[in-house]
This record gives sequence, structure tokens and C-alpha cells, in this order.
Amino acid sequence: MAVDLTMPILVVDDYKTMIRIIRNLLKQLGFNDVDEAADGTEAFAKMKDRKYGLIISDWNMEPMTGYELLKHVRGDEHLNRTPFIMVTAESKTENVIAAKKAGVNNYIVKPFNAATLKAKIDAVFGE
Amino acid sequence: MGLPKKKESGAFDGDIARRLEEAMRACDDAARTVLAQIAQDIAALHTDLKALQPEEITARKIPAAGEELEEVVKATESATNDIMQAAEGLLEACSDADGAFAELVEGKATEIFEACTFQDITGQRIGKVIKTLKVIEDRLNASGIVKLAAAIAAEQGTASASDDDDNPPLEGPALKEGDGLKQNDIDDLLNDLF
Repeated sequence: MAVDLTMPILVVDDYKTMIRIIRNLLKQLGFNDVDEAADGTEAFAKMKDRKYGLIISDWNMEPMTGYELLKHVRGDEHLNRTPFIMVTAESKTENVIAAKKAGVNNYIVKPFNAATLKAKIDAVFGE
Repeated sequence: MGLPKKKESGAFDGDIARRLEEAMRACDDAARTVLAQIAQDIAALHTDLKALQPEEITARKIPAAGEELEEVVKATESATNDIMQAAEGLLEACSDADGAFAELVEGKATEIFEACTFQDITGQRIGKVIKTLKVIEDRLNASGIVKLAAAIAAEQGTASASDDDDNPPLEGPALKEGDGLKQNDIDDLLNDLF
């Protein structure tokens, strides 16, 4: 399946700077329709309003973490098929395993580069 | 040596009394030595606690260190945003360009964006250090060491460390607006002084 460059992407991070970085990297990769949310709660609400082609979320946020957001998304019958990439500094095995068990499609450890982001997005969409 | 005969009982009693007295004196000396040692240890502990200045650490140094670190995060975040804004500006300026030059600019801008991810990582690491400092502060406060040291200091009297004009404390960069002098203020002050 080819990656649709026009799909809307939701970037979730409590660090405005990181959202800006990811937004810029996505732009460099050809994605221009990028929304943002500061935590899981805001992201989930936005997902109820708009159908996103991909969620790129940090883990460590309050009040709802990226991990909780992932579980909410996978538990929602309308959203459970939305591709979800975790982008986080949490690099312990147990975190990766927990995210995988919760249904994450891919996992990027910070710091990362555009090539890694592109590779993981391609992998999610089966390229 | 057998038991003393009855007629020698006076000498026997005197001997026991002497030995008892010697034993008690020995005990007394030992107790005095132990007590002297304890007194010495307590005095040393007082000196150590005073030198440690736990009240200074919990009331000023740890909170100040936390604030300094928070300022580091803010400053790097601000610098990161400035750097990204410059890179975004470059991309925008070259939006109509094509060919090798446009590719070069886009590539370099991407490298800048990638490098900027350091700020998130350092921010998280510094956040952990700030939390650890808070834990140390809370534990010191809960341990009673601070109160004990304050009591000792009050009893013994403490000299202010910042009273020495020839050796003012080093505070580093000002944390907040108004904490330190601005360059203009310093220039004015120097002009007034000389």
C-alpha cells in the first residue's frame, strides 16, 4: 500500500518544540496536513472529530499518556484501525513490549532523524 | 592461700573495702572516659552539622539549583525554536528554487530539525534531576537534621556568609527579571563609582 501524502496526521506531544520538529520533518517528507494535540485527552477528542490517517504520539504526557491514548484508540470500535506510531524517549524493553501488546504499529526512540521517521511510516503502511 | 582466720577479720574487711574502692574508682574512670568520648563525638557532630548547613541546603541551595535547571530548559527551548525558525525561513526563501541548490537547502534544514530533537531529551533528563533534588530536599526536611542544625546554630551563633564585601557570593546568571542588573544598570553603576 502506497503512503498517502495527503492523509491527515495527528502529532501528540506535550512539548511544543517537539511537535514543531515533527511537523517540519513530516513536511520535509511531503506530509502537509498535520494537526497537533498536547496530550492523550486532547488527541482522543480530536480523533472523535476528524478521521486521521496516522497518529504519532509521545508516551510521557499528562493527564493521559500516549500509552493510555493507544489503549483508548484500540478499544474504540471506530478508531481501532488507526495506525499509531509511538515516538518516545522511553527505550526500555518493557515499554516497547507493553506498547506492542497494546497495539502500536511502530515505535521510534528519541532522538530520531527524518530517515527513521520515514522508514517507520513506510513500514506501517507496508511499503 | 586459704580463708583468713576469724581473728584476722578486721584486716579482711579493710582489704575488701580497699578493693571495692579500687573497683569503683576503675569503673568511675572508665565511665568518665566513655562520657568524655561521647561528649567529644557530640561536639564533632555539632561541628559537622553546622558545616553541612542543611537548612541552607534545603531552603536555598536545592530550590536555587532546581530553578537554575528549569532556566536551562527554558533557554535551550527558546534557542531551539530560534534555530528552527531560521531553518524554516531558509526553506521558505528557497521554496521557488529547484535543482541541486534546493536539494542542498532542504537536506541541511532537515539536519537542523533532526539535531533540534536534543532539546526534548535534555529537557527530560534535567526534569529527572529536578525531581531527584526535590526528593533529597523533602528527605532532609523530614529527617529532622535541618531542625537540629538550626537549633545548634541558634545556640552557637552563626556568622553571615554574605557579609564579606571582598568575597561576595557567586550566584551565576540571574534567574528572573529583576534578580540581577542589566548591562545599562551596570554601566551606570560603574560610571557612578569611577
